[in-house]
Amino acid sequence: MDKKNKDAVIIILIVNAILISLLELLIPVPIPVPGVKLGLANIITIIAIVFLDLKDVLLIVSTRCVVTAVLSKGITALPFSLTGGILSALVMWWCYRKMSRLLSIKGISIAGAITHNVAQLRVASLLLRESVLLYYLPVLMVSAVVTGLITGFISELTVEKIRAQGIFKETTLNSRM
Amino acid sequence: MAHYSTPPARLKVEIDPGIKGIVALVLMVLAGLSNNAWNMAVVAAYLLVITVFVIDDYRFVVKSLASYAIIFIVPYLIGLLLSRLVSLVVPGGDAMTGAALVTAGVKLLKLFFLWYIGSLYFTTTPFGSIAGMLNRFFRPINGLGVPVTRYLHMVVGIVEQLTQAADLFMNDVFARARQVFSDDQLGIRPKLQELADILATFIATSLQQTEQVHNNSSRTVLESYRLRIGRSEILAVLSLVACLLLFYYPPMN
Repeated sequence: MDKKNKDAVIIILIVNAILISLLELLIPVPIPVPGVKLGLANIITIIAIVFLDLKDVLLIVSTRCVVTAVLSKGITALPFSLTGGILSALVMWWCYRKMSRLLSIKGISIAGAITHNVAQLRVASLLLRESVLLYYLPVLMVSAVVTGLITGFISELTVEKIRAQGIFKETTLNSRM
Repeated sequence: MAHYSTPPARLKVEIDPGIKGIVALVLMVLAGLSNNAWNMAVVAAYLLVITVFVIDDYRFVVKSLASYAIIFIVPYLIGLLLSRLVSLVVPGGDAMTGAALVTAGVKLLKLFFLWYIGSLYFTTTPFGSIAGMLNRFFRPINGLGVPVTRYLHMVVGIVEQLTQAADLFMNDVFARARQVFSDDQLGIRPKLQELADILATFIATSLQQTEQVHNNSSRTVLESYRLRIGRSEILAVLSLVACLLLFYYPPMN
């Protein structure tokens, strides 16, 4: 795939991630915790991890965070979303490449959700230089398991369907097909 | 001509995005350096004045407060509550003293200033102008192998694509997903399976538009930025100078 087409695929995946996150309005979070979202955009990160290389995954995650921050006018939230997004993508990529025999996509998604929440809270506690924020960690960990499981369940099914349809046949760099 | 500029909030005064960016950066530094009540009051008053003078729609103030509360205040208060509970249960656990609470409150206020300044800048500046300005400032970096222009094109392409795809998504995918989730007969598992079906089809369909997206992206033109110095810009700089003087030289001294 040439660079221009690859850019187009990346643009489409980022747009899809932003649009898919709108569906969060429809799905009730089982444990309503302030600051906790389902993170449906993670579905696209997982698809990218399965079908694309790490560089593209990181480009997709970081550009999505930048665009979301700019469009929602919440640019100051960028350090949080960027740290959480990139670290969780790295952890999920490592889990998928090195531990896929032990972890299903659901497990990988849970690992990503936990990393995301821990990273965001760590950034907040570093910025405020207040360790009291870390007391919130157990709450966020439990909610990350639940939201990661839901997102992982949808991601697993979506990845299977995408594989079955052979969508990434021409664009796949690391497909295990 | 590109149509990627997101409409900013209704503005009373338009200021050059570069000048506004410098004012925002200086204000952020001042907010970070604030170490007494006077400094904080000056920054807060300046932010209040520019909010009143520059924008006409204050909904973003509420949005900004709400997002800040969700990310910082609520976790902090819950953390504080839990730390109190732990200190009651665990002997020797350290509960925060009144002085520590005041220090934490000051940090939260400083962080809110930074948060608000960022929100205000991006609310009052069209995205196209920001992209054009960044391209102008960082163009020399392209020569060093950092493809700034390529990434800016990509970001602009995403915003354009979002504008085009949003309606279709809402009328098709969102409406179908809403139908699935409003069906009381279905359990959560079948609902999630249906959603996965909808998403896989949506992703497959969208990836068939690679050629079209590539063509649209290659036609995208980044706005050309040229520094504009008019009455508004001069007033912005003068007001910042006044703010700096008040910040460093309190009248009672």
